[in-house]
Amino acid sequence: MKLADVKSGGEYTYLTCNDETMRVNLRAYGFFEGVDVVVISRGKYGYVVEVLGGRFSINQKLAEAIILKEKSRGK
Amino acid sequence: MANRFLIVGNPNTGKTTLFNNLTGAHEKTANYSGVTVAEKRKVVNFKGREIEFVDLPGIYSLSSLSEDEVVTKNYLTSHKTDPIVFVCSSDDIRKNMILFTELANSGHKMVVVVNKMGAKLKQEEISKLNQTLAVPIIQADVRKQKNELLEWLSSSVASVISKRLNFDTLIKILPTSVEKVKKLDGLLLHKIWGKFIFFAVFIGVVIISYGKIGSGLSDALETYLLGFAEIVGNWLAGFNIVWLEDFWYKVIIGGVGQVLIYLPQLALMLTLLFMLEEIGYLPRVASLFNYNLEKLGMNGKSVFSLVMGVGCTTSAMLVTRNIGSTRARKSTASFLPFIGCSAKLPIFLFVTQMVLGGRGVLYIGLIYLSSIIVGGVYLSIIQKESGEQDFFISEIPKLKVPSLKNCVSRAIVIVLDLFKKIVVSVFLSTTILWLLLNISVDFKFCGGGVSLLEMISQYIAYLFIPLGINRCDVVVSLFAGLIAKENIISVMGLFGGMESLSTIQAITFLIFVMLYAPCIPSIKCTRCEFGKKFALKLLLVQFLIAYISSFVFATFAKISLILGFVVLIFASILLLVGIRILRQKFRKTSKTIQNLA
Repeated sequence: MKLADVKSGGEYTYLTCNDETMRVNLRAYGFFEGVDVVVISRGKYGYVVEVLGGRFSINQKLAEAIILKEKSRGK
Repeated sequence: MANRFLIVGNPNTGKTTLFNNLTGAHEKTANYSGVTVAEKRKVVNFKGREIEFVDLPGIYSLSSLSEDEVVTKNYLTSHKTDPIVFVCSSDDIRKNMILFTELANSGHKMVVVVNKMGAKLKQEEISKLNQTLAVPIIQADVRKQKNELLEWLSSSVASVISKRLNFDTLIKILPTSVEKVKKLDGLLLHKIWGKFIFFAVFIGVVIISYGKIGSGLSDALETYLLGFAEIVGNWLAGFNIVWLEDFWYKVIIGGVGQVLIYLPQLALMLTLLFMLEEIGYLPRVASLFNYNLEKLGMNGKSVFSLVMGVGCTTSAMLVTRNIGSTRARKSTASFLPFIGCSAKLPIFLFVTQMVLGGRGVLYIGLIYLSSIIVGGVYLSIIQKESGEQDFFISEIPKLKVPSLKNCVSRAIVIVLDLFKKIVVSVFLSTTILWLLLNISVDFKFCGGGVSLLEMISQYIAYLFIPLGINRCDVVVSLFAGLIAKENIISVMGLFGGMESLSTIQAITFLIFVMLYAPCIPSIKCTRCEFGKKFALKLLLVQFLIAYISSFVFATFAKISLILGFVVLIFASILLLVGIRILRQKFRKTSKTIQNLA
């Protein structure tokens, strides 16, 4: 699912980004495949997520390109 | 030759703070990424040994793309043999390891300084880190422990890591961040409350700086300065040389002194702004306003430049480097001259106090508001692809308690810099203008009659007839303001103040000052960053906008002052909305045509 489709407060795993350039840029911020993503807040004004202890503000366009999966429970 | 250390790390980990501490420099630091946009270097002598430190802009990864990050990347490539002091923060060490892994795997020699920020690492965690990374590591507060750090750096042997590091395995063994999501962030980043808090904070900054506290400081300095002026004036009167007394009162006191008395207010405002930076509030503002700024072609990161623009347009132009997108960078640079820099504020205070008295603050507020709206209209007009978004990601640092000492010393550095500029630049230009004002058309000094300066400015003043400010003092001060905005006040002092200006003339003049070209250093900086064509276009547009806006105000203000502002603001808003509607219609029509084709 896209970051733009997830719920606020949920915990997810980062899979990839649909945009090649941004995929490289996101790696610099710690968005590696399999890394945990906590969605702190969301809305049409933007998204705040936490990755590897750092908090990031992301806009709608990027949220549409980021692909996450729901974190499997019981691990 | 001095040993050279390159200070490298993620943005906002304390690299410049470490650099300042080790070298005694006063480079700007703040609690957000992208503060350092160019390399800074300084040599220190420690126990008879010369050590050079190079502070590089923060970088998340070697694959990063923004202008300031490219500076670091290129520097690292060309200085591969120099050891790196890798600075990382103790509270999110895992994220810092992305860059560390890349540097280690590309063969750089490194030592690691873990900056104590928030939760500090336990001794066993440091030992574990030491074993894993196999390079010398120290945990320290980079603001203090200068000698300890220098001793450690000069004795440590920076090492190249022999085995290849893997980030995925590395993060599993590194300590995780323990900080919980703060409720305060929920409020600061709230789409309605967040903006309400932002406006309240900035109004608070203005009230403290220019209200009773700030003006009290300036009044105290003015009283002291006037007392000093009188003592020296009486002493000079003893010589019975008219021009000497005239020079003292008009150039030194009326020119240079008049600018100096506003410095305490400026220092107070800068201290408060720096405190907001250190708290980590500005990245939250960037996040909060990203959506709105995108509509104007900028993005959230433009906030850092815009706030910096309140201080100085020239340095704000440089800070645009941390904005990733070229389109957003250019839009921010185009908008910056519409933000009144700190040099313009004393002019507003001086003129409004002289002409408008207590109502001045209201009009200053209205002038700033008009300027921002007019700037918005301009951006709206130049946008080729209105509404088109760029990708945007920005780090939100953890909130921290600001250091008052650091904020005050940063403000003092800027004010002292301005002081030097005033003493040199304002003194020189005011002296030249004073000479021209005292040389008559028949080239006699203090000969009376029409001066050379008045004669030249009379011709240029014809251009200002439609604005109702076709006066020599206005024309001369506007031209002097191109060299440095502070000159405007000194020229006014030279012409004996502007008491004879009517209220409408005074505000029209201030609107023109607010909107016309920035100072020459700022124009030069724009040319360096964006090219000659862009700088020239911006300069011409600024003059044109200043002229049209002043004309609109002057025309309607004849009926009522407030009506002048209302027409100026509402005409701008209508223009902005109109452009948006027309553009949307145009896009729809072109899409329909494309579909039909």
